[in-house]
Amino acid sequence: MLVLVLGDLHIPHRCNSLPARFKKLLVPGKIQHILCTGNLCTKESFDYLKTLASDVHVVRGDFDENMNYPEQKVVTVGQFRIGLCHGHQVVPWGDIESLAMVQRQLDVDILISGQTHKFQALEHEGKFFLNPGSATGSFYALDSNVIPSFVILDIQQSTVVSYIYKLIDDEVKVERIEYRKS
Amino acid sequence: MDMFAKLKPSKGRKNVETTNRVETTDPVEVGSPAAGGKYLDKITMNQYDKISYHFPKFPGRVEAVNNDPVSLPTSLSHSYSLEWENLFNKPNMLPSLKERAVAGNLRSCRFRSIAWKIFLEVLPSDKSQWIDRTRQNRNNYEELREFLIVNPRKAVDSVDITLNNPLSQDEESPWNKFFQDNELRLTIKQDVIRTHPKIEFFQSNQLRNLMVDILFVYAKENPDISYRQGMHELLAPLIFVLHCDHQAFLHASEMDNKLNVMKEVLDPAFLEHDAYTMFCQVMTTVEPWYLSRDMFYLPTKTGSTKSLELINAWHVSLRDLSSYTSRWLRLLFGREFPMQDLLMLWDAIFGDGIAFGLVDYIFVAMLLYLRDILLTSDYTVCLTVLMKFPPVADVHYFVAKALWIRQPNVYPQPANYTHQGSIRVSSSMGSSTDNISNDGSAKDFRKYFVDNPAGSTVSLSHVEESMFRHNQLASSLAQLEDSNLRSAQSSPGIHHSAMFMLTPDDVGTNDSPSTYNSLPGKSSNQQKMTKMERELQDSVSRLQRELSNKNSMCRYCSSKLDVHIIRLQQDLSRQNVKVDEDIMLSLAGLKLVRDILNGTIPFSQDIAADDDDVRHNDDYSGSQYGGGDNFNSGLTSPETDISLSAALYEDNNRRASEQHGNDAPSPPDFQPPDFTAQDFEVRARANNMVEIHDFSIANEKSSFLKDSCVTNSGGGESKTLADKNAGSNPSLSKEPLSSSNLTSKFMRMFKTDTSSNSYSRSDTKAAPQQKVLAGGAASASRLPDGGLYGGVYIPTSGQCGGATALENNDRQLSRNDMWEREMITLDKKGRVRCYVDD
Repeated sequence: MLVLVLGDLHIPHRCNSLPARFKKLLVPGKIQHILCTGNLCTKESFDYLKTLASDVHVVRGDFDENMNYPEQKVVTVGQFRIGLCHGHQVVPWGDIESLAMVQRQLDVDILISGQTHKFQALEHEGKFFLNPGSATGSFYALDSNVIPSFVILDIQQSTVVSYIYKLIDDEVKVERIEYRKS
Repeated sequence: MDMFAKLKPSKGRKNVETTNRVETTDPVEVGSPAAGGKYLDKITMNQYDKISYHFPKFPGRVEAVNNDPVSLPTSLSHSYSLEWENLFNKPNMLPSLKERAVAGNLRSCRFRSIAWKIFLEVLPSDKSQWIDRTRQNRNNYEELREFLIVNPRKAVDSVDITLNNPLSQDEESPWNKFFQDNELRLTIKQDVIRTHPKIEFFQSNQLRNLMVDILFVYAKENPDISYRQGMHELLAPLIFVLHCDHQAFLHASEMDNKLNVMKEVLDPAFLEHDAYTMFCQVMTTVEPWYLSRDMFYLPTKTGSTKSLELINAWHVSLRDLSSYTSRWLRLLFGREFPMQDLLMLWDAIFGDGIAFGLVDYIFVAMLLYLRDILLTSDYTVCLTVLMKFPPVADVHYFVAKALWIRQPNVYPQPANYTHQGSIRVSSSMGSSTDNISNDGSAKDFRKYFVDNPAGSTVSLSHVEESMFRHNQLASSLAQLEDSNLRSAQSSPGIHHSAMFMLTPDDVGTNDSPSTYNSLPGKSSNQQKMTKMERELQDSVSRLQRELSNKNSMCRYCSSKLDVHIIRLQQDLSRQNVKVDEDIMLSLAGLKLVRDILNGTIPFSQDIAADDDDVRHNDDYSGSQYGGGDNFNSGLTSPETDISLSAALYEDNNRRASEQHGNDAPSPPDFQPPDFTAQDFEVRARANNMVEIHDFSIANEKSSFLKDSCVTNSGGGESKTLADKNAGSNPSLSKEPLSSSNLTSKFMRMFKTDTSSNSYSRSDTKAAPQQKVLAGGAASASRLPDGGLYGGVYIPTSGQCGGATALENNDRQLSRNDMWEREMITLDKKGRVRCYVDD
């Protein structure tokens, strides 16, 4: 089961669109679910995601036009409970301890958050914390060097394999991280 | 493989249980209602079917079973191993196995899958090679599956991450291949999910995945045909049979140790592998049918062109046929029959030879079975019937028929071979005879089947029933639409009625499919068939050809006669003069001849004997009907008919005398002992069936006639009335009277048509009426509102006496030499109606 994880697009405020190379990779028919950490900003971005997969889950970022997105969301895929939260509410931003609190609150196996525009994947206290970064590589006030990135999760029974797609020097680099549920 | 491991234990447990239930039940008890019902799940029901099937339905089959020790019912031979020995441990194993399969004796076999494997050349006929061959096949599939079913997750270490990632669009990427395959798999899965929705066995996910895997591997292995819709339907029965045999084996192996060969060959772990191998073999033959869009126009190796010729022979639009019935071939009739019947059919198809040559003939046999519906119905009905084959009681009938079509000299004719005969007639006739929609024919046909005591027609009768339920509907529709009365008149159901009447001996004595079981001996002797026998068969076929030629000649004559009669009548009516009786009578005589030629009136040898009686009867009307002999001469009234008509006559006389005080003379010769007019009348009145029917009659003398007509408009049907009459009078029921006889007796036809006095017009309407009534049982007849009947007598068997008698009576009543006519017919609801007019 393939799950696309991405967020912080900031279209059209900080970027005009997804990088062309990413767009080429993202084709309909492969991905079953999309988890978005927010800051899509406009409805058009959301519609674009809808074309990739019918099942799109979005939480509200601080720049989203649509105020109806929930602050947090829990999605169950296979054997995994996946928590989704943009992360601007969690201070300090991107702090693992603060995120762990949210993770315990939601009681999830995987917590996905955004806001920092920087890819991050780590295991903490047996749980998996994932930040897909900004898919457009849009401007972030605290970091001038933003690399566009998104994540594909391949969820099989008790294993999650994350494929990280980064755009470095106009080349798509892929990394692979495996997380096994204990 | 991991999937398989899951599949095995769960299924095994469940089905061992079910088999237990069935197998431990005594075969006799299986038939009891307690064993059936909801308690048994689907699979059990199927097995139950299997076992109960085994009890012979027909006497013929019983004999066949008893005479041949080899074909002892397999499930009665208690030992599993014994059955094995019986089937496979024989010197000439293959031929005897094939014989058995074609004869339908693998119904309850627990080694059907092995038999099929042998037929399909998956296993060699040499038993010692079985284990090796099985292993080889299984390894083969295992390798294929490993190679073809791509799992990108397993290739993690071997392939570079830039290629091996889910979004990679590189040709080499395992993920990319995986996604491409997935599309195919989804297509397959869509169909697989819909496989036999009524059989629970096919509903489990594991089995579905297994089927998808097999079909997928096949599609990858044969990229030129890949996967086509319908393949899953071919695979399903194979898996089903394998599974059943595996369960039987598991059950049997709990009892005692089995042979090594058995263990190896019937290993449930290799269901998928075996199914694949068998499926491939089936597909090698069936493949052309999937590849060509219009299979009839391509010469295939099975010679489907032969069916083309056969079909062409009877004017069926080939293009329509092939497009709607291609499914029959592609699925090997998988959708047309329920599973157990299908397995039987496949036994025969496989057993007949790897080329499935029998398929063409079964195809034709099935079409022949539908022939009447197809010819009489409109497009939509035909389509419906072709798409949804009507239920069939005995599938083996098709096998027998197919064998017969292929080799009429070797195999016995199945019961309703006359289809074949009439086909020739219709094809040679053409012209106005194409329209065969006639109730009479259908009725006749059915009557024949129901009444015919010979062989398996009894078992087939209810099939025919169900078939004709359609047919009636269709043909009555056709009749309504049929505004052209001429065509209706000139296209009666002669085909059938004539054929059935003229060839009863052939049909009655020929071998029915049930006795086909005893065939093996016969067919093995086919080589040694003496020259004399062959000559005999040749002469039979020659005679049949002649017969059909004669038939078509008769039909031609009658239709010509018809045309001329009508021309004459029109001429007469146009002249508008008082028509001479003699002319009318000779017209009537001509019509009688026409009807005899038509076959509406059976022509028999009894005529000579009966002639005297009839003439005697004529004495009463002789003065009035100078030409009486003219039409009596051809009549074939059996004695009972005459006496009944006499009774009718007497009845009418009495009624007349009661009502009018007239002294109606009683005929001296016809005095049935206890049938009296009172009886008749009282009974009829009690049933509220007698009613004086008022009809607009201009003539004053008709006031007499008016009273003398009996109209049965109450609930009583003519048949019951007739039966009562027959029952009340032993002298009348020497022979079982069919209602058709009586009906025809009731029917008298005279000039009618109050308004115009136009003979011709009334006649054209009357003609179909005649045929309906003459053609068979109490049937629907159309009564035009104007009461346009008559012009001549209906020269129907047995009715003559009654007609003349009544006529006589009328004369007595009216003391008038005018030609009074009246008519008693059955209307649509089977009520008797009577029309009187001058």
